Amino acid sequence: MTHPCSEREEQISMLLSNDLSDETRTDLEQHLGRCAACRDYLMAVREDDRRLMAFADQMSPVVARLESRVLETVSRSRSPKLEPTIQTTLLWRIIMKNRFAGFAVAASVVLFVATAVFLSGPKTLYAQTLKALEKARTVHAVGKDKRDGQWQQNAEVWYERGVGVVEQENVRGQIVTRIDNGQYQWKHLGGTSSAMKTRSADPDAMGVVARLLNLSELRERFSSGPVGAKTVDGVECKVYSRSDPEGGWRMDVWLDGDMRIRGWEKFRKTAGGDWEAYQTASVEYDLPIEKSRFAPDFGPGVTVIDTVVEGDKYWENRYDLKNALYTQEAFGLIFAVHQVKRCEGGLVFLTTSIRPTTETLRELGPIDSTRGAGSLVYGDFQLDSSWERLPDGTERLYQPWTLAELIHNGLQVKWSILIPKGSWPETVNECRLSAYIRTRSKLQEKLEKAGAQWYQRFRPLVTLPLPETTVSLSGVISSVYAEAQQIEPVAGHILLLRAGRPQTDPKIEGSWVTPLVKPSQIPPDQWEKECRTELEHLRGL
Amino acid sequence: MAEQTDQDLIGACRAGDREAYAGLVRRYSRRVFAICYATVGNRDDAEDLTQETFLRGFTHLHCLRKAGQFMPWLRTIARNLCLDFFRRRKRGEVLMADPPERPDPRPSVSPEHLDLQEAIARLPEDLRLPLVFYYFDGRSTRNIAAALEMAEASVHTRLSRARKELRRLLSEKEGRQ
Repeated sequence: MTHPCSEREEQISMLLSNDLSDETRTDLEQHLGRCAACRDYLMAVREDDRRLMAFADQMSPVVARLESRVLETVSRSRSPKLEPTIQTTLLWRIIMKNRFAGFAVAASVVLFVATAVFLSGPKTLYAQTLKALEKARTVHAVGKDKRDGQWQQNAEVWYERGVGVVEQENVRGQIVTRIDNGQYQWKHLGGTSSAMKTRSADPDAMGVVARLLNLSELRERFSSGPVGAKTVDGVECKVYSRSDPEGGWRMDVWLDGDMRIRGWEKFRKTAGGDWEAYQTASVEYDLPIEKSRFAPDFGPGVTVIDTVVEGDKYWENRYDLKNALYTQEAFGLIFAVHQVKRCEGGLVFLTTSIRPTTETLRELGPIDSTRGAGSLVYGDFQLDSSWERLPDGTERLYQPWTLAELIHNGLQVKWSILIPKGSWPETVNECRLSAYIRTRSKLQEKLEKAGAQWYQRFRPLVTLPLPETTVSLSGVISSVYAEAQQIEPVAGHILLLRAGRPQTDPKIEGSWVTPLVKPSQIPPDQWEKECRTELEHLRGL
Repeated sequence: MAEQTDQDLIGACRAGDREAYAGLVRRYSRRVFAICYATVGNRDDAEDLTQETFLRGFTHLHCLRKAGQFMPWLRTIARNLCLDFFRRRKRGEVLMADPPERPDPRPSVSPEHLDLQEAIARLPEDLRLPLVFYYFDGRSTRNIAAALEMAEASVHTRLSRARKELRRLLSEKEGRQ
């Protein structure tokens, strides 16, 4: 094989992985037209690529079999050790099948203590406490944190047997409410105008007991007998205690004469060696709770969106094709533009989506996002730079930046901003949109087998008029955040907000990826800050 | 039911639900295998090391501080096990790619790929890592660049060099046959 031109070797590699800018690509293509050595080299590299891909494909069954082997070994292995401070919250999550970490904290006000005791002391204590809790008709618990030397309420839980549970938690200043009646769940984030109704996240409600009984192996060392006495709300209680092996942490639990948990307190050691309480919870039993407490009423102006009744229609309506500004069908997929906004500084905001056509779904079957394995989409897309060289020799392009992404049952939605670069006039009234659309999974296999094209760069795909009104970047960022928040209860596992963060710790592997977060994992102001950092970074590239 | 996050699955594991770990194994087995394969360059050893990585991950879950950092943590375990493997091999404690005594029940590699597999094993690690991450783990060059802390252009250079070296090794082998 003859050698390629040295400066083109890397570009040819980049050509294969679609990593070339449009300009370089055009330049390389022109060069390939002239240079036989580089053409030969490209063919050789393509052959290498094909062979390596085929070899990698052969590894799929190897990995599949390896999975079974690993699982078999794990099933025979000893149980993992447990991190006690984390364990109780996590247990609650399993118990209640609660998918949302934020609520686990609120709910754990009641059961943090329960699990801690259940999983700890002698069986008699465990059994008695369990029985006492089972008997409770209602439970009301309040959790507090010490912040700046002051106790502040951070969570409150109401539970009534046969009625349901209400959890309220203060998440970075925002009140998050979840109501669950065992059949349905309603979730509302304070300050937003809608609440989401979904299927119950904890159908067993307080069916904690049976599950905990199976978890006896997880018992931690709690003091086997009371270490003191305490009066809680006028009720005489015994104090049980435990501390971590290094002695920097302690937790006291108070049980009344009926072995019911009346509360707990967590302590840490100060520099002076004293115990300082930093978290506490108090629990009351069998007090009447107003029925209205369990009603999914979140105040005036808050609409309940019923995703149970609407089902998949909910998604179809939310990102519907009928009202889309533009649709393009290609390779059994439909690409759509749902929203275009003119944003300050020449930025263009877009909501775009891709989904399989009805025919594709009929032929290849629906995609269920809840499956752990397999592809989540039949195809995806990337917005392209729409690079152009202008008659005066200057160039202009957009740098696409994805702010958030949703994947649900084969539907992929992206919220993006196009950052103008190069030579742009002061006022732009239209947006030339280009995109790279590719199939994936079974659809890709089908087309490849048939020798048909399975991906394409549409350049341009469409020219969209920009609205006259200019919106602020803050407005756009906060609207994406609000939308993400609204969707999270329904598709929290797959809605990803992307925020650029400078790498702070090079030792943490993985910090190099643009982190993907859910709205519940990041407060809106921090996300906006990170978005702005990312934008500055992208502008400077 | 919604797909569970790593945090959910780890929480369930910590509470004794072994089945939850299966979800993590299925989610990351390909990636861990790619890391091991890229590091040791040998499929059989990579399989063993992948198994050991997940097992160690399971029994040491209490050491994982941030549940959201499960994969990076697992990657560190895998890398350490691979390095340990090299050390033991150096000391003669492990043999490399012994022929199996019994028929190997694992899916076999087609003959045309055997040479390729051997050639990949002979690549220097700085070329093998990007190559395996790219082809076996399906990572983008940008992602690889970040993982290996190098410029994206360097990843392309290394991919080019890796392919070139593979071609050389394969033609060398053909020449010998």
